[in-house]
Amino acid sequence: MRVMTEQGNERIEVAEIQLANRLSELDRLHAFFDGIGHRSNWTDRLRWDLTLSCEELLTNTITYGYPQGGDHLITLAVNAEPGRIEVKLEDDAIPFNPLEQDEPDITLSVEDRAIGGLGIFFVKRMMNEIIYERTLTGNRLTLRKIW
Amino acid sequence: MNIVTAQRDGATVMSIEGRLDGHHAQEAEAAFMALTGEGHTRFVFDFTQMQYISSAGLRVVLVAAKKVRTLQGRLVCANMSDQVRDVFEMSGFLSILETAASTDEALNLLKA
Repeated sequence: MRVMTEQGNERIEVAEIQLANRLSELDRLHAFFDGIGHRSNWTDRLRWDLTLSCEELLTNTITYGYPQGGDHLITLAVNAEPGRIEVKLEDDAIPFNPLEQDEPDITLSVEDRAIGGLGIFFVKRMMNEIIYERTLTGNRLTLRKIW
Repeated sequence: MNIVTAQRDGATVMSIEGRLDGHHAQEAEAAFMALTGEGHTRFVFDFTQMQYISSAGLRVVLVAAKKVRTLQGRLVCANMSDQVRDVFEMSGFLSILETAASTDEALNLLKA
């Protein structure tokens, strides 16, 4: 993990973490955002929104992105300044654009509700901007949150 | 995540503590399914000590709600924090699941 903080009138924090393609790595994701949130004086709500958005995308990538298995690393980079946070997620997984997924029908009854499909929907609700790019080796998602 | 199970007033109170996320969801689902396998059908999910829930956690709650319907049982979710409640609201689950402000209220609902 790399962390760089500039103190002063404008507090900017740049931090990066690499996570292996295992769901147990989500514990490290939580610790990562707990640390940044504490240092940058984020509200609990802001930390929750950022952590949840990243978890949803990481869980998808870890669960579905590597049908051949093997060990892979996913890089998560945060650039936070007062009022504005940008997160970049980069992987070497199979091509997957979450923005092309159908939205779940959240009005259906318990019997009719499909299991799953909510994760991306949450990210869209919580972030102000989501950009998907296919890279030479995988996928890059950029999330922007204004607060 | 930690799960504490207790029997109260003929219902099973499952306290899900900590983070119900993509890492722990399967374990929680297995714990619930084991209880239904033992014949339990009336549940309170107590979220007092829940720090965090994601869609993987909501999935477990939906699986449980579907399961109790097939067993003609019931499930009430109790003691949600504001942030947990917001995630349920965002997913539309608040309008399809039974919820209660406290465990006592949940147990009263189950008696009705």
